[in-house]
Amino acid sequence: MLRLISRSFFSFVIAAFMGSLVVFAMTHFLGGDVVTVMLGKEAGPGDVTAMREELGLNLPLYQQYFNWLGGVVTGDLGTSYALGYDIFDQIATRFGPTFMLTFGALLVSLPLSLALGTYSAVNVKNWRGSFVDVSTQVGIAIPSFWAGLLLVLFFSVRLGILPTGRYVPFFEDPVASIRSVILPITALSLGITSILTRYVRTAMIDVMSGDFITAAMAKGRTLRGAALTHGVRNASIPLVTVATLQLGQLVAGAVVIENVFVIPGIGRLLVVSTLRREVVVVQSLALVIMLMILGMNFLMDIAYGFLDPRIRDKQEAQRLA
Amino acid sequence: MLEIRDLSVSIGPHEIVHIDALDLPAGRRVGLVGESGSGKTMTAMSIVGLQPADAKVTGSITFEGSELLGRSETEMAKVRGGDIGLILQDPARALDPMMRIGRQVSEAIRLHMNLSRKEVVDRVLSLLAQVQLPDPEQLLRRYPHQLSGGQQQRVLIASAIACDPKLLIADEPTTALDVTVQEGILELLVQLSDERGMGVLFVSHDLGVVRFVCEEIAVVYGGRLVEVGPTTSVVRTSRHRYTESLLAANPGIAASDELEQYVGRRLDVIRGSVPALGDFPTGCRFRDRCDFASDACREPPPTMISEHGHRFRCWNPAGGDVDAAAG
Amino acid sequence: MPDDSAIQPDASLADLKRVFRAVVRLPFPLFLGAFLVLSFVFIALLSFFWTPYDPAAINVPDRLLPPGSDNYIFGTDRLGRDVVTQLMLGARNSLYVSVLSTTVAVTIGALFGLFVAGTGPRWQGPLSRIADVGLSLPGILVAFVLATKLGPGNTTATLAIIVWFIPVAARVTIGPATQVLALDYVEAAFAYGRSRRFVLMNHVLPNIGPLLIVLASVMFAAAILIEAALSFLGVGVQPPTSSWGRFLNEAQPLLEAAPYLMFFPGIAIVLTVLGFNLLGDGLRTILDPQQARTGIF
Repeated sequence: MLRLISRSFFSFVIAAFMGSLVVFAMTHFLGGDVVTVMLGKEAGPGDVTAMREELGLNLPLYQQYFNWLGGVVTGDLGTSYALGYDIFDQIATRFGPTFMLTFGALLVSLPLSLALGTYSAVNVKNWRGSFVDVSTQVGIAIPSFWAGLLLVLFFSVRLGILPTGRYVPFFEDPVASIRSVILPITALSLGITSILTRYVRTAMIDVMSGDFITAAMAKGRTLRGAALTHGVRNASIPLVTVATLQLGQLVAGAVVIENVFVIPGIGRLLVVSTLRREVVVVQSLALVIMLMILGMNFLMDIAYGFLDPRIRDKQEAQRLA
Repeated sequence: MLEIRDLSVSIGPHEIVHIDALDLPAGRRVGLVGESGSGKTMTAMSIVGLQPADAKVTGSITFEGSELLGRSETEMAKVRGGDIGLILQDPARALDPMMRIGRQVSEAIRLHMNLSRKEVVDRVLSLLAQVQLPDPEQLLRRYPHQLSGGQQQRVLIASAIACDPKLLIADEPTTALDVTVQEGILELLVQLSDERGMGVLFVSHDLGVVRFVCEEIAVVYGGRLVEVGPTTSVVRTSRHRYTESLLAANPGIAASDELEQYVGRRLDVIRGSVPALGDFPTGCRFRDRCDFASDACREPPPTMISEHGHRFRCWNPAGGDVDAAAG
Repeated sequence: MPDDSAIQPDASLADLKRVFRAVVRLPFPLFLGAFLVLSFVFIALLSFFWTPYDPAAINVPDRLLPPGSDNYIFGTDRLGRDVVTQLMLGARNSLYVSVLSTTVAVTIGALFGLFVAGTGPRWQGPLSRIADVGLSLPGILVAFVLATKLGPGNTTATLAIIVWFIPVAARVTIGPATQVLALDYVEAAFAYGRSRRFVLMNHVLPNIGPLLIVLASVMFAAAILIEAALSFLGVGVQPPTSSWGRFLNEAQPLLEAAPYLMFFPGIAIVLTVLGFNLLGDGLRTILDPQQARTGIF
C-alpha cells in the first residue's frame, strides 16, 4: 500500500514538472509577444524595453523557467501589471474557495452517482431505470452556468431561501459558508454526476451479469441484496477511473461557476486576468490549476488502491519479483 | 425429498425444458447429464428460482413436501443457501474479487442463521477445514485472486454447505478445473454427501465424472428426460439410443472390464449437432441424429421401464424389444 | 425480399420504400438525435438567408418585451432585438465553431494517431505518452492562455477548441488503429509490399471510420458547450457577433426583470447538445454495439 502511494506521488511530481513545462511553453510561444500583449498596441518602445527588463524576458528561456518555478516556492510570482496586487498572495487567498467548490462537487457527485447508477441498473427493465437514463442524458447537455442561473432564479430570487453571491469562507462560519456554496456546488455537480451516473449504470449492469452475483443469490440473497453487497463495490472501481478522467472538466466547470456566482476563487481571477491580457498572472494561475488537478488525480489513485485489493497485491508482487 | 413433476420452462414460444418426473430421495446423489444446450442447467436453476428473468416456469417442484414454484423472490432467497446449496461452474468468476474469503464463506451463515460473531467465525473455520483447505485462519483474510482454482472451488463448496443444506445442486463444479484437481474435488463432494446425508444434484456433460459421483443418472436431451435410473444399470445396459451414443462417444469413462469392447473401434461421434431452440423435430427430439429412427419416432415415445429398473423413452431402444408397460 | 431491382422499372421507388422502412425502424433516441441535429443545422443555415428581423437592427423602444408580444414571438432583449433572430444567429455561430473545430481537430488528431499506431511498438509508447500529456492538461487552460495572448474572440475560441481536441482525437485513434493493424489481412497487405502509408490510409482508416464519426458527433456537442461557456465568460465571441453563450451573459443581470431571456438560449443549447449526443450514441450502437464507452470527456 505504501508502495502504491509513493509510486503515485512520484508520478504526480513528474507530471507536475512536465505540465509546468507545457504551461510555460504555451505562455511564451502561443500567440504574440508577451509584452506587446500586456501593454497594448499603443505602447512606446521605451515602455516595452522597460517591461522586458522588469519581467526578465531578456534572460535565456531556461533561466526564466527556473526563476518562475523558484518563485512558486519562495512565494514571489510578481505583481499584477494592471492592478498591482501581489500574485502569490492573491492565489493563496483564492485557493480556498476554489478548492471548496471543486472538492465539494466531487464529494457530492461520487456517492450520488454511485447510488443513482446502481438504482438505475437494478431497475434497468422498468420505467424507473429509464427515467434516470433519460435524466442523465439531458443532464449532460445542460451547461453548468445555465444550471447555475436557473438555480439562482429559482431559489434565491423566487423563493429567497439561499443567498446570492457573498461567499463566506469555511473557517469563518461553517454554516453560512455551506449555505453560500450549496447552489454553486449543485450547479457544478449536475454535469459531472450525470456523466458518472451513466458510467456506474453501465458498470453495474456489467457487474450484475457476472457469476458472483448469481453465486451470492445462491447463498440466499435477493437480486437487490446481491447488487448492494457485491455489485456496488465492484462497480466503484470503474467509477474512480472515470472520475479521474473527468477532473479536468470538473475544474473547468468550477472556473465558469465561480463567475456565475461571483465566488472569489482562482477561476474568477483567471477570467478577469485573461480579459485584461495579464500574461504573467495567467501563467501562474494555469500552473496552480494544473497542480490542483494533478493533486486530485493523486488522491484518486490512492482511493483506487484502497478499493481494489488486486492493485495492492500487484505492487507487492512486483516488489518481491 | 425433491420431486419434480411436469416441469416446463419456456422462453418466448420455445419450451426449453419439459421434465415429466424426476425424484431425488434424501441423501441420494443424482446426476443430470447432457450436452451443452440440453437444458440441464436451466432445470437446476429453476429449482431454486434462478432461471433467467424472461423464462416462464410451470409445473411442480416440491421440496420436503412444500411447493417451490410460485414463491416470491424473498421466500426463494430464504431457501437458497439455507436448505438448498448451489455450486456454480467457474470458481474464479463465482467469487467476488473484492471481498475477503472469510466474509464470502460466512455470507450464507449470516443470512440464514442467527449466530454470534464468534460462532460465525468458528463455523467458517470448521467448514474450511472440512473441505480440506490448509491454514484456515490465514485464509479468512485472503482474497480470491490469491488462491488457486482448486482452492477456490473448495471455498465455494464450503460456502454452499455452510448452513448444512439437505440438498446440494452442483453445476459443472469441476469443468473449469485442471484434470489433476478434479478428482480431489469429486471425492470431497462424495465424502461430504455421505457424512452429512446431503443429497446432491450433480449437473454435468461429463458422463465419466457423473458416474464417479452419482448413484443415479438422468440423461437429458433437448430439455427432455430420455433415460433415468441407477448408474450402473444405465451405463451397462443403456436403452435409449442417445445414452448409447453418449457412452460410445466417451470411451474414457468405461470401467476396465468394459474396455475391451472399445478396443479397435474408432471414436464414435454423434452425428449432427444440437439444434437451435426452435429447430427441434416433433416427436422424439433426437430422431434426426439417431441411426435407429423409424416412422414411429415422429410421435413422442411413451415412458417405458426396463428390466434393470430404469425408465426411458424410446421407440427403438437398444437391447431388443421393450418388455414393460408404459409408466 | 427478392432483389429484382434490375428488372423492375420502378426500382427506385422500391428502394425508397426500403430506406423509409429502415429509417422508421431506427431506435427512438437515434431518431430524435438526428431530428434535433438536422433542425439545428437547418436553422443555422437558414439564418444566412432569412431571419424574422434584420440581424443588425436595434430597436430600443421595443426593449425587453416578454414572449407572446405582438410582433415578437419570443420577446426582445435589452436592446430591443428580436429573440428569435438572436437565437438563429447564435445557432449559426455555434455551427460554425463546432464544425470548424471538430473537423480540423479530428483530422489532425486522427492523422497523428494513425501515424503513432503505424510506428510500431518501439516508438508507440513514448509517442502515446506525449499524447497523454496533452490529454491530461485541461483544455480550458489552453483556451485561457490563448485568449490572453491573442485576445478574446471567436477565432481564439475556435483555435482553443482545436488545440484542446487534437490530443483527444489522437488518443482515441491510436488504440483501434493498432488493433486493425494487427489484423491478418492487414499484415498480408504489408507482406504484399504495400507501403505503410498506403495501408494506413486505405485499410486502417476505413476501418476506424465509423469510430471517428461517432467521436466527431460527441465532439460537436462538446464544442458547442465550450464555445457557449467561453462566450458566456466574455472570452469567446465579442459583440456584435451573436452567440448563445453571450446571450446568456447579457441575460444574467436581467435575471429578475426578464427571466425569459435566460430560458431560450439555454434550452437551445440543451436541445442541440442533446441531439448530437443522442446521434453519437445511436450511431455507436448501430456501428459497433460491442464498443464500450471510453469516456474521454
